[in-house]
Amino acid sequence: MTSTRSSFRARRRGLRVSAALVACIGASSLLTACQSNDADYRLIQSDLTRTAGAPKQFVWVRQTLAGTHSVSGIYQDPYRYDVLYSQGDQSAWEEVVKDDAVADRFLDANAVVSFFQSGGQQGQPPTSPSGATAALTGQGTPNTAVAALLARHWVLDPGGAPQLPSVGQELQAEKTDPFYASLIFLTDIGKLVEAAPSPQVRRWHKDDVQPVYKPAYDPFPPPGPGVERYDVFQQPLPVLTSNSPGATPAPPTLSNLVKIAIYVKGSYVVQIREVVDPIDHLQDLVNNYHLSLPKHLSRQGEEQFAQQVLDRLSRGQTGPPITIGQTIWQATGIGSPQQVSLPTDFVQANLSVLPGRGSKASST
Amino acid sequence: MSWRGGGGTAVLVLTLAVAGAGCGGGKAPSSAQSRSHVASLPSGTLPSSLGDLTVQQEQLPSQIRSATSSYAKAVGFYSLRKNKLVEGTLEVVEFNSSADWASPTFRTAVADQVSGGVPDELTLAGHAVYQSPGTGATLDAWFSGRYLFVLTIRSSYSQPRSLTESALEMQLG
Repeated sequence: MTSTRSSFRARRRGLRVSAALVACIGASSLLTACQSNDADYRLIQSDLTRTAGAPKQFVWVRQTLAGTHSVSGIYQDPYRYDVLYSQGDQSAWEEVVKDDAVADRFLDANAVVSFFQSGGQQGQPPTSPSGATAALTGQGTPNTAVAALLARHWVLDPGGAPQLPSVGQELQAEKTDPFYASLIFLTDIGKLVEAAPSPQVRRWHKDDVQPVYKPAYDPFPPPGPGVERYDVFQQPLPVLTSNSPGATPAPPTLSNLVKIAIYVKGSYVVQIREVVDPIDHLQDLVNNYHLSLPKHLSRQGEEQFAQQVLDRLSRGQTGPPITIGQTIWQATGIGSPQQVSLPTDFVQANLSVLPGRGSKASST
Repeated sequence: MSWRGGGGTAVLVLTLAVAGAGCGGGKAPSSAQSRSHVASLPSGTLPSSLGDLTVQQEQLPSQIRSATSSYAKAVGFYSLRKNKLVEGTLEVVEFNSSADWASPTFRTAVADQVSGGVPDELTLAGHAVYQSPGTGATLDAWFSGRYLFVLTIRSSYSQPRSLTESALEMQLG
């Protein structure tokens, strides 16, 4: 009996020791994980900030259900850059900004006008040149700047550089300025990382047992040699609470549906991939918001249905629009000197016909 | 100096207040430094023009010259004029050895206090520039070695970005 009690005490002591050991290991591994993840978050924010401020050459491509548009260019600093906007494979609009001066050239005026008319999405181009003129001037008579732009000449305005949109006008700026979203993309990604649920980011490992995105739902390629990939956690979809009006949860936001992978080489971000794909959550959306999902939809049909649902749910919301598709940003020559030069053959005119530009705009 | 709508002297005083003992990022000034008065930067430190503006060194107010317990060794206060109209001001503060001027914490604290809030941070010409848009004027502040530069530009001035870039690229004499 004594022996049994001793043995029992020994076993209990052993269990306590084991439990304590497990607890210690568990706590320390948790602590390590937390520290590690927190370090990943700080590293990514620091790399995003460093890369955003560094000179570089970059390409930004956004593919949506409406089509593909892209911006490529040279970035010297926020006051000096040379960018080209394209729709599909067609170059449409080039802009050079150097300090207070801006120079613009339309390579495809109809594509530019379709951008304006569709509120920042690729749309149907005007059916005639006079339609493009009217869209740019608000009337039929082109001024010097419009006439030169439609003739594909460079137009230079020495004091007309684009102004940063005032606080609260950033989303509107994306609808009227095809370059803006590409120039602030890293800042926008930084905000999404900050808004992500703790621990915000996790470094990608092959065969990770706790990946941010399960392999079946991971749309991103593994990193290349010498590159690390960091994935951003998604906010869960809003759930029904006692405060939810109309017995439905709050509308989803971009951070509920966006997947982001950030690729880092050295201390610079070399690529970012952002995918908005609510198909993973389509059934949840249907259930949460009491929707009726049409039967036998193709993948494209599901995406169109989801986009309609998201447009409807986010109507009246103040956050960024939820547009199904993907955006890829990548940069080269980061940190190397980049020089931007204004064109030498140009027509000098006031570019206030273009949103946020023109000598008048710069004095406000 | 006539400044129609700006508060250059106020900014200067603020800069010195920041450069004084209020900033947690630096070492406490030694007693020897405490007794030191702030000198005026020698004439010829700045070029005679920046962009299309004439640079004119202004006299430091007496309360600045008599200030002690400061991180400032010397200060220069300049008006930037087109004809007679002041389009901007530039203050240059040379830190003394008690200032931990290379420390990011010190720099951020100084920038926050100069800006009167949390400024936007831009990278221009390789410098971190702390920018604060204000009513009637924009304030840009940056560090270069042991110097702090505070550039205030009237909002109606037509070439503000060129002026900032010129000031950033300027070599001190």
